[in-house]
Amino acid sequence: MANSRFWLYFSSPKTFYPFAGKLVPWCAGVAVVLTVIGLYLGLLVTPPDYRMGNSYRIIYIHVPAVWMSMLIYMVMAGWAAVGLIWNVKLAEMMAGALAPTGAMFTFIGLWTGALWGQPTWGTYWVWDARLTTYLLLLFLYMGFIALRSAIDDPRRASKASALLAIVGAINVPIIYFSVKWWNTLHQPFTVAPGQESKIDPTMLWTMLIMVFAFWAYAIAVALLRIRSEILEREKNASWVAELLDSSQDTSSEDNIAQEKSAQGDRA
Amino acid sequence: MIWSSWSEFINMGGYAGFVWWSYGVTAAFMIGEVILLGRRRRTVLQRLARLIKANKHPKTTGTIETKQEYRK
Amino acid sequence: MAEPTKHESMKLCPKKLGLFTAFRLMLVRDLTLAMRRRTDVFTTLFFFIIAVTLFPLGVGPEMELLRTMAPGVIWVAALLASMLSLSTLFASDYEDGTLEQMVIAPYPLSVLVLGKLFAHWILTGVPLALLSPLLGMQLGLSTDAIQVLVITLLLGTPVLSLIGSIGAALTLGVRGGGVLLSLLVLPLFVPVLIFGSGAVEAFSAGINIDGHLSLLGAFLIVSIVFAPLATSVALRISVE
Repeated sequence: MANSRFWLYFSSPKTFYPFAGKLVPWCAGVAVVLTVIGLYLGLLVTPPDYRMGNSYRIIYIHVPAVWMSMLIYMVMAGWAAVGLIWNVKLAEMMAGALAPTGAMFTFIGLWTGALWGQPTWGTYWVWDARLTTYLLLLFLYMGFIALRSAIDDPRRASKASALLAIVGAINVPIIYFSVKWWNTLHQPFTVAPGQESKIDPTMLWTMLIMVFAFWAYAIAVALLRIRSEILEREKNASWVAELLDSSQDTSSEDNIAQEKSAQGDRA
Repeated sequence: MIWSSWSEFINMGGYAGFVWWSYGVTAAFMIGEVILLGRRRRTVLQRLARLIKANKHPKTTGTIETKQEYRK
Repeated sequence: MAEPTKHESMKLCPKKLGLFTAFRLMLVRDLTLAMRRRTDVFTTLFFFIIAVTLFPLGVGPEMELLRTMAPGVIWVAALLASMLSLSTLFASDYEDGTLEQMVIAPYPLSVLVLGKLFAHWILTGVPLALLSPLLGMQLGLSTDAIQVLVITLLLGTPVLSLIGSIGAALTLGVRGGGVLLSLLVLPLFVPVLIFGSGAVEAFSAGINIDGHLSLLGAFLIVSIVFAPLATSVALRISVE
């Protein structure tokens, strides 16, 4: 089957490494261009909101960041599941490469949300179902990253964190509904943010452009990170040596010398 | 263009603090991440270069020798 | 070394034991081991008492304030106490190699894990629940509310043990394991905390608490089904 051969082809780090290298400049270029257009439209062209004034311009980065952080968690858990079930090393690496970016977007989402909430609702933070769950999402990201970096053996680290990502992804909806229930029971704040009746079409377009810019950025950054990680993990593989040393003749080194030098390098 | 002057743009209709802190922190994080990744890639490549060099001269595989050799 | 370990008993009798027997042997083994190191159980309990006692000292002795805070305070303390005890759940088995025997034993690892977790609950969850009336009275809860508190703790603490065991298995032998475990597990404890303390608060406010209790029961059933599976996967990752 051509399809399965295609996937096999790209699931090997050796073939994925140059492929990712070709993709990075494209994604980065798209991200830069779209960001420039988005910022131009968002800060200079779109009119102020009739209700929120100019503070609403924060949502041009707040909404994309929040979207990305939640999407990245789901994609991360998906890769983690693929890696764990079918034992695909590259998928586990992908999950790990996405996590820091996801955590960063979660923090940006919280930060910009707070700065938007103050002028809009008069408070930086409410114990609202969405905000509380979102804060917990940041904790889940942090747990994933911490577990991954605490385990020295890279194979075990990526497998353990993959399992954690899956457990976390299953728990996110449960957490959300419990927090929502808790929130309606206490009813401390009645905030209705979904009342923007008239959205200017240019505003919507600007937001979409920023969303795609953040997408492209996240893909580019994740690919950059996975490239470094592939090199680190496969440092003893012959293709890495050939890749970095293509100008000079790399005679086939014996494995013992390789291992020795790897140990010396690590020490 | 909806702004008539530079200072009006900076002022953001009175919401300068909120808007610029949001955009500034976001930009700092995103640019910072890219810089960190570039740094990491350079370190990895340097380590690999050292590794490959050490493999070519198996007699000098000790850590210190390798590092010194690399620095030359 | 007269440890009545399960793998020893397996070596003695070549024929395969039933699943329930495996579960029971694991349970009895862990309880026996714990009875030989009784201080571990008491340490958890004293942590629970001290943590709750700190709150009146921190927020002041107004009984009205303490009464409203009591369910949350007791639940958070129970959460922390059971989380602290989790870090030792698999640690000694991991060190002395029993865990590897469990992994290669001819029984589903999840059944053995369930046995261990049942023992863990008997040793931490049940004592916490039994001790909570005392602390509830200290914080001025009414007798009826205390009854509800005990029921929610009895329903909720097994869920804490079950979910926490996943984190405990993942952080086996990892440096800084205890702190890491709390980072992994506490966000996942949130639903139990909400409905556990929420039930007591709702009861005090005169609201029907059937919903809370059935949701806690649902969490319990779901985590009994899935948590041992996830834990056994995690144990295999950590041991291999």
